[in-house]
Amino acid sequence: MRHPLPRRRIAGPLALLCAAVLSGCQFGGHGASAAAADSCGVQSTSPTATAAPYNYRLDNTVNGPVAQVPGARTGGIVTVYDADDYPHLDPARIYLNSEQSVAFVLSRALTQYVQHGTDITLVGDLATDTGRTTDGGKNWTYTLRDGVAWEDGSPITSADVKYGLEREFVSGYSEGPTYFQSWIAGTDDFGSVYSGPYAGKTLDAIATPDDKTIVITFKNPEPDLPFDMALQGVPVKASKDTREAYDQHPLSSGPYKIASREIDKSMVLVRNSAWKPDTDPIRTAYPDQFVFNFGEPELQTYQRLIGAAGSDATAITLSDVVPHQLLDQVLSSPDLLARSVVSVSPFVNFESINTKRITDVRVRKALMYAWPYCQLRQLIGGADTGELANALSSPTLLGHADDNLYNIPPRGDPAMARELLTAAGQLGRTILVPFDPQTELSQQIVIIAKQALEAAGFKVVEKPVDRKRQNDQVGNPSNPYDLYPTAWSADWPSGATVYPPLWDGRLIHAGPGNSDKSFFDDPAIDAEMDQVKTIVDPIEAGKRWAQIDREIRAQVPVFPTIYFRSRQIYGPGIGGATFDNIYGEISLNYLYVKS
Amino acid sequence: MSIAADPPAGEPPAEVSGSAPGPTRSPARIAWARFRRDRVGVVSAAAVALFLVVALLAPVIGWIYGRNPYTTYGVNQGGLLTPSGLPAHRFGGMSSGFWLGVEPGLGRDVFMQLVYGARTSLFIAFAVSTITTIFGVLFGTVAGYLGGRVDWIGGRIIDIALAFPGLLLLITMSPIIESKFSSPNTKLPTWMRFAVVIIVLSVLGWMSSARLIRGQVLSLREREFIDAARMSGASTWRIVRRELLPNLWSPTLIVLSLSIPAVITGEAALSFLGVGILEPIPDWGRMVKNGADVYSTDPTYLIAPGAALLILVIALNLLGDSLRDALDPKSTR
Repeated sequence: MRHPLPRRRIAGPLALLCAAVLSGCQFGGHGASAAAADSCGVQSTSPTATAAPYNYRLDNTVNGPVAQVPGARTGGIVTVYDADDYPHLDPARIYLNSEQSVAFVLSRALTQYVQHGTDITLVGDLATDTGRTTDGGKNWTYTLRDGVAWEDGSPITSADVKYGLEREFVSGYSEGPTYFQSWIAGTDDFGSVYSGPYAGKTLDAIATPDDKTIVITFKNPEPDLPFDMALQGVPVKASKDTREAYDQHPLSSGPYKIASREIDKSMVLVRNSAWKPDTDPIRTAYPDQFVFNFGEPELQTYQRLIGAAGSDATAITLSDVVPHQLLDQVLSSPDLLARSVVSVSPFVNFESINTKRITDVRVRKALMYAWPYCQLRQLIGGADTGELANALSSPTLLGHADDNLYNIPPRGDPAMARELLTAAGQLGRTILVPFDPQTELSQQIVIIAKQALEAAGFKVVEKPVDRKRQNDQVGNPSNPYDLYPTAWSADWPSGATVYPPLWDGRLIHAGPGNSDKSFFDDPAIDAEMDQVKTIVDPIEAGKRWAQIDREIRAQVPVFPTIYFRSRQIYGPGIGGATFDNIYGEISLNYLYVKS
Repeated sequence: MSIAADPPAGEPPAEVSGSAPGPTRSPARIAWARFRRDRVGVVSAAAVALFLVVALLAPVIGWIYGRNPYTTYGVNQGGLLTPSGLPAHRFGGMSSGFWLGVEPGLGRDVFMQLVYGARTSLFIAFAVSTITTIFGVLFGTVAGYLGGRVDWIGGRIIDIALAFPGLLLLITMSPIIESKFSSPNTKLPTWMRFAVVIIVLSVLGWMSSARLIRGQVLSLREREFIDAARMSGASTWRIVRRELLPNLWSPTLIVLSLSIPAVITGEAALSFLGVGILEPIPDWGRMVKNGADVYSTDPTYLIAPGAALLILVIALNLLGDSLRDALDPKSTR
C-alpha cells in the first residue's frame, strides 16, 4: 500500500502523536495484578466498558425504504463543527473517515453498511445485493436497483458505475484506496496495466451487458469485493466529470447535495429531490440541511457543544473527539454523558519495533514487558480513551480475538523485561525513540516511556523529529530509530485490510512510505496470508486472521497498546445520534432535529 | 528636594563645580542614598533577591522539602491523579505533601517545578540581557562616537534588525538548526536548546539598548570634557575607554534592568509556542501553556506559574524604574 501511517485519521492528535497505551484492563486484558488504588485498576465510567461483540452479516434481501427511527421528525438544520475541512469529496480520492462520513449522504455506492449498534449488515445500496459470484470470487455480477437517479434527474446506469471504477486508476487521484485497481491488474503496479478513462481507453475487465448489469472479472479470486464496493464502488457520470473540480463539487446520488462550499470555511448540504427513499434501504435523511463550519479548534468546539446556546443546541462535530482536558467534566455530568456517543473506534495503536535494528526477539519482548501501558493511557485521558489491547486488530474487526498471549500487567513488568534483556546479553542497550518537540503530549509520553524502559535496564535516547518528517522517516527501512507508535484502521472489517498491508514482508521497499514500519518479514506468514485471502466465507477467514494475529505477536515485531475509543458530544436538540463503527465517529444517518 | 546635576563621572573631582555637598560623596553613593529612600525600589529589590535565592538554592529547597521536579509522583503512585490524569483532590491536589498541588498529566510536584523553573527563567534572562547589553553598548558607542557614515550604516542595521520577523524565523528554523548540529543517533544535548533560545532572544533583543546608548554617546560627544580630552591629544580608544564608558554606567544599568523582565516574558512566550526549553527541564512558559489547556477543570495549575511570572516581572520592572530614578534624577516621573 502506498499510504504512510494511519489510513484514516482519528479525530484529534491522538493517533498520530500519542505513542502508546495498551491492553486489557477491563477487556479481558492483562491480568488483574494492578493494585486496587491504582488508577489503572479503576473501572471506567463508560457504559461500553465491557466488550461488545460485533455481529457482521451480509444481507442480500434488504430493500428500501428504511424503517423509521421512533420519534424522529423530518426537517430542521443540523450544524456541524469540525477543526479541519475534508480534503477530498471526489469518490476516487476519498480515504479519510471524515470524508467517508460525508460521502455517505452525498454519494451512493454499490454496497453499504446498515448499522444498529454492534449489528452491522452489509447490504446492496445501488445494487440489489452485495454481489453474486459462482466461481469463488473471480467473476462478480451486480444488478442496479430500479429508480436510482442522479441529482440532475437522469438514471444511474451500469456505464456510470463502470466509469467511476475506471476513474480509480487515474494516477492523479492517488489519495484513494487501491484495492480494486490491484485486484484488476493482479499486481500492485496497476498503473502499468491501465491508466484510467482520460486516456480514451476503457477497462475490459468490467462488462456492462445492459443498463442495469455490471460484471467484473478478476485475475484471482477476490472474496472481499462486496466490502470494497462500499468504499470504491461509487458511480461517476462521465458527462458530468469535471475532473479536478469534481473534488469540490461531486454530482450527488444520495439524499443531500452540495448547495455551497467554501474550502476550509464552510459547506451547506441541502435535500436532493431526485433521491427517492423507496430505492434506498440505508439512509434516513431527516434534517433539511447540514451546515458545516470548519477551522475552530477542538477545545472551542466542545465548549460550544457543552454550552449548547442558540443554534449550537442542534450542533454536532463529525471528527473532533472530547479533548482530554474536558473529559472529567463530561464524565461527571449526567447531562453531558446522556448526549454523547461513545464506542471503540476502528483504530488500534501499537508500538512498532524496528526489526532491522533489534533482531533479537528477547530484546523485543523485553521492550513489550517494560512498556508503561496504563501510565500512558492515564496521560492521554484514561480508560475512556480506550481499552488496553492484546491483539493487533480492533474489536470492530470481523474475527477479532482479544486473546492474551503474554499476561503483561497493565503497568508493565520491568523485572521480567530485565530478565529477558540479561538473557540476551544486552542489558543497557540504547533505544532511540523519535518525538515531536512542538507537541507537549509527545514530550510527556517520552518522559514516561523513558522512565519505564530505563527501569527495565534499557538506555533511552530521545530524538526530536518534526512530526511531518517523522512519518516519512520511520517508514524507511534504513531509519535509525528503534521504537515508534503506529495507528491503523481497517478499511473494512476484514483482516485482509490489516495484516497483509502491515506485515507482508514482500511489500517492504527501500526508501520512505512503507506501511510495515517494523519491517517484519516472515515468508511462512506471507504464504499463510495469501491462502487466507482466498477464503470466501468471511467468518471462517476471520478465524484464520486471528490465528495469524497470534503468530505475528509471537515474534513481537510490534506490540499492541490500546484499542482507541472515541467519545463525541452532540447538542441537546439532536435526536437519533449513533456511533458509526465503520468510520469510527458519529453517524450522519438516523440523526434528527427534535421538535 | 533639589539635587545638583551629576558631574560627569570620568572627570577628576577637582573639576566638579562647587555645588557638591561634600568632597567624600561619590556619584555612586549619592545614587545609593536616593535608592534607599525609594520604598518601592527596596521592596521590589527584595522580591527579586528572593527569586534569585530560590533559584540558586533550588536543590537545597528540594532536599529540605523532600521532592524533586522530575519524578512523576502522580503516575508512579495511585490516588494523586484521576484516571484521566487530572489532580484527584481539590485545588489542584494541594496538600502538606504537595504544597502547590500536582501537575495534571505527568503528576510532578508543582512547587518544585516552579522553583526549578525560576532557574531556567533567570538563567536565560541574565545570559540574554548580558549579551544584548554588552553588544548594544559596543554598537551604540561606535556608531554614536564615530558618527557620520558609520552612524548612518549602524542606524540602518538596527532598522533592518527591528523589521526582522524573528519569532516566525525561530519557529521555522529551530528544528532545522537542531538537526544540523546534532548527529541523528544521539540525544540533543540540553545546553543546545538553551543555546538556541539564548542566541535567538539575543539576536532579537540588542537593538533598543544600542539605540539608547548611541543617543547618550551623541550628546556626550559634544560635551566640553570630551573636547578637552581630544584637544589634549588623547587617542580615540582612550577617550572611549576613559571618558565615555564611565559616563555610560547609569544608562547601561538601566538598560540591563529593563531588559531582564522583557527576556523573561519573551522566553515564556517561546515556551508557550512550543519552541522554547523542552521537557523535562522545568519552565514557567510551558507550565502556563499546559495550565491554559486545563484551566476549566484545574484552574489552580495555571495560577502558580502565572503568579510567579507576574510578581517577578513586576518586581524587576519596578526595580528598573527605581534604579533609573536613583541614577538619573532628571527623568522625573
